[in-house]
This record gives sequence, C-alpha cells and structure tokens, in this order.
Amino acid sequence: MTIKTDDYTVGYNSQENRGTLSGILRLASPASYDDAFGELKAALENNEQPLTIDMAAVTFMNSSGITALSRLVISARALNRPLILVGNAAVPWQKKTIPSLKKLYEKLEIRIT
Amino acid sequence: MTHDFVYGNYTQPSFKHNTISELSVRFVPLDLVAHWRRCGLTADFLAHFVSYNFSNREAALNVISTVLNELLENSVKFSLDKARHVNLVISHYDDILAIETVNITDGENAEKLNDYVQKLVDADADRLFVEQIEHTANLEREASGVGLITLRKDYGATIGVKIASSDSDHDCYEVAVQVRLNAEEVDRQ
Repeated sequence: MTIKTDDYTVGYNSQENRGTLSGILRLASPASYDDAFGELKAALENNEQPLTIDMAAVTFMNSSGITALSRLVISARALNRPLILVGNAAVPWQKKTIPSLKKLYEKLEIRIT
Repeated sequence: MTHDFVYGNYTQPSFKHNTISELSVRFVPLDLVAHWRRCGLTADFLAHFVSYNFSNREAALNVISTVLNELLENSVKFSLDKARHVNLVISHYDDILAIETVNITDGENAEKLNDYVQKLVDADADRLFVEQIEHTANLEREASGVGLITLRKDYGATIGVKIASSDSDHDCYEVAVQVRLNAEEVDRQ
C-alpha cells in the first residue's frame, strides 16, 4: 500500500518487508505520523523478518517525525525485531540525526551511504 | 515565576556593523496552525535567502531550514494566544548564523521551559536525547521535547533563552529563544 500526499510518500513492499519514505515529513505532532507509519508498525508486529525503512529520499524531517521514528525503534526493541534504517549521507539531517537512534536499540542497523 | 531568567548564551540583540544578511518575519501563529505546511514554507524561504552566503548552497539550505523549522514550530506551539504576533530574526554576521524567536506564553509553559532549559544548557546532549525519548514514550506523552536537544546535539548549536515577565499582562511571559550556528560549520556539511 502507498500513502501519497502533496508533501511525502510512504510505500511498503511486503515481499521484501521494506518501507520507503520520501519527500518532506514535517507534520504537526508525533501522533500525526500514526497514519504514515502505521503499516510499518504493523509490519514490525506481524513479520519476524528484518524490516528495512529506506529514508534516503526524505529531504526534511522535523522533531515530531524523529520522535515518531524513535518510538518505532522502541517498538522494534520491545518486540526484539531486527530493524534497518537506510539513509543518504548527502542529506545533512539524515547524516546527523539517524545514527543517534542506534542508542535506543542495539539491534538497530543504520546504513548511511 | 516573578522575575526574568536568562540561560545559556543569550545576549541582548544589538546592531552589528559586520552584518552580512539579516531578515525578520513577524507572523500570527493562527496562520501556521491553520496550515501547518506554512512552517516549512517559511523556513525554506528564509533558508533559501540566506543560503546564497554559502558555497555549498544545497547543504546549507538543508541545515538552515531544519533549524528554522524547529524554532518556528516551537514558537507556534508554545504561544499562549495564537492571535498574538511572534517575531523571528535570522542574522548572518562574521562567522555566526543567529536565529531568534520571540513569543508570548503563560506561566505554566514558562515554568516548563525554565526546567527544560536548565537541563538543556548543561547536560550531555546525546544522553539527554535518549532520556527524553525514553521518558516521554514511557509516559505516553505526546511531545518528546527533543527539538532543541537535536539542534544542540546534531548541529552544534549554542542556545540562549530569556524568559521575561510581562508588566502589563498577568501570567504572560515573553520568551526569546536564540540559536547560534557556526557559519563555517554550516558551509562544511
């Protein structure tokens, strides 16, 4: 299923267990991200295989988004599920902020290239 | 709270002879609440304007817009009266990029900010980030309050805050939040 708004797109490929986010994610609160991240959260709960969330094409994310993403990481930790975050080193906010989420969950794998 | 508080690197704004760029915006929070996308639009516009001062414009735009957007959102969320103006100024002088927002809030929010900033200014930002995320997730608290922490942790921002009681309005406080970035660091992204 794909969510597409004027600002961002969220897609999920169930065969690869891979979510892809792109665009601008600057929603008003962490709860505003429930719809955007809902399928990813369900994938964590229902699929034991590693979930990959590719954020390389997210040009901006605000602190509400970082909070929502952090809570997804905490969910993965609670379920003991492997989680991979993919980012783009050429996008400053990704290079700076995504790696720090590793401190929330030791099994979180960060791939910034 | 009955008197003014100043934290961190807050300095009273003054004219700088060596100003490279300066832009100020006065807005009504209601406008941004009505269309939240306006926060990002405003941040992008101001960042585009200032990014011409940097050799790596694309990277500078991303950094500056991210920082601006955070401060804009905070000033809207914590404004007591959403119909009352908020001021934002971005200045580039010497090797400093400085952003200041000024908004009015109530005593309850002023107290919370007072407690928050005391931690923010002194604590290890990486540790504080994790603590805030874990603590607010456990309490199922909606907001995590990691915005300013992230600016310190990931952008090397120095932060100053002034909370001043309003003489004319009971239980109203003027909150000025100053964030300074090293312009050379912005250009080195």
